Amino acid sequence: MNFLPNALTRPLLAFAALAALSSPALAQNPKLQLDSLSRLESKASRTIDVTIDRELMGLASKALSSENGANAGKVRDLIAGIQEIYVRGYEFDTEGAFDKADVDAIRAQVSGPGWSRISSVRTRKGIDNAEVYVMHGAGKVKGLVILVSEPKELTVVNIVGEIDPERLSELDGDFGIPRIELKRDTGTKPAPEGRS
Amino acid sequence: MTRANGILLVVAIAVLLVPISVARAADAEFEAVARHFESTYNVRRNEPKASWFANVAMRLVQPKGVKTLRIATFENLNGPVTDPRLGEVVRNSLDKTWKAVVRETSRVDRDQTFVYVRQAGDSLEVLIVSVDIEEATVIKARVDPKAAGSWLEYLDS
Repeated sequence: MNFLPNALTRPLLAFAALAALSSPALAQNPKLQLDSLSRLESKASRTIDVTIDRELMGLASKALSSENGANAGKVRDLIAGIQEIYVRGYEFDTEGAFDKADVDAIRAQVSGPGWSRISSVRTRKGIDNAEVYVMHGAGKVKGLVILVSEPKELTVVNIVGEIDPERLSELDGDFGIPRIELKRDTGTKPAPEGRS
Repeated sequence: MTRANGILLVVAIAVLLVPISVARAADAEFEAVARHFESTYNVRRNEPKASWFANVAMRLVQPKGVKTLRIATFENLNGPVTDPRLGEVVRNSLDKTWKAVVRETSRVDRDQTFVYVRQAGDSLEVLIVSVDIEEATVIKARVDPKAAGSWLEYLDS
């Protein structure tokens, strides 16, 4: 039975399809929704929140474009394709201060099409459990996520844009990004769904 | 010195002073945060006074690309070990044109850092608020984005 006249059905279907494509959960979006983590601020003993949006990243590139030093050139080259950087980090006094659901909400976003997990991650002192996910599209890296989930710490880094994951270690310590590096023999596997 | 040279000197000094004076008058954000530190930690700020000599000196030593610069430091802090209200004070002092770039907060000690920026015409305005166990710093600057690299090196030093 048709409840709607055909003249209305097709535009509505088209609208629904567009809406579905623009939904963060379904679309290939390298930018994560991190707003849900803000509720952890009141529980955390320390927090770090870094937000470098497209406009600010453009200013950073502009600032570096006039610098001539070797280090400036290296950083300029590294961030050339990066459009946005978001870091959310929380340290807690006690274990169990954040829920598995908080972590799963992040993992769910990197389990969609285009995302894969880099399996060979070497962590540095102080970080026991880091997961790195990359989104590929049209043969290029479109985004990257670092998720560090420890009993008393939760850190999420979301880089939007083109970045060579193997050069990630060159950024660590800058922009609030934790110190991790990838092994040379990096391999990728599909992102897990609902893994804790 | 001839009369003409004397007039030129006065005009030159006036030109040097005007941007900083204007910046001071419009520094409600800076003042709000500085007053918070003064009242919370019962300290007085160390800030180059608004004398013409200090202003001229500041213009001469400030790094390339910096159009206006104001710095206040607060040493030997007394009072509470933590300052959970600081983030709110900083945020409330700024209007919606400012964007938070870095917000680092702590509930266990005084270590906190806030960096906010906004575009102001062809310049970039930056407000940096930092506090640790011993001292606090408030910096507000208007910089040329193309020369911001050298300004960041200046801050780093």
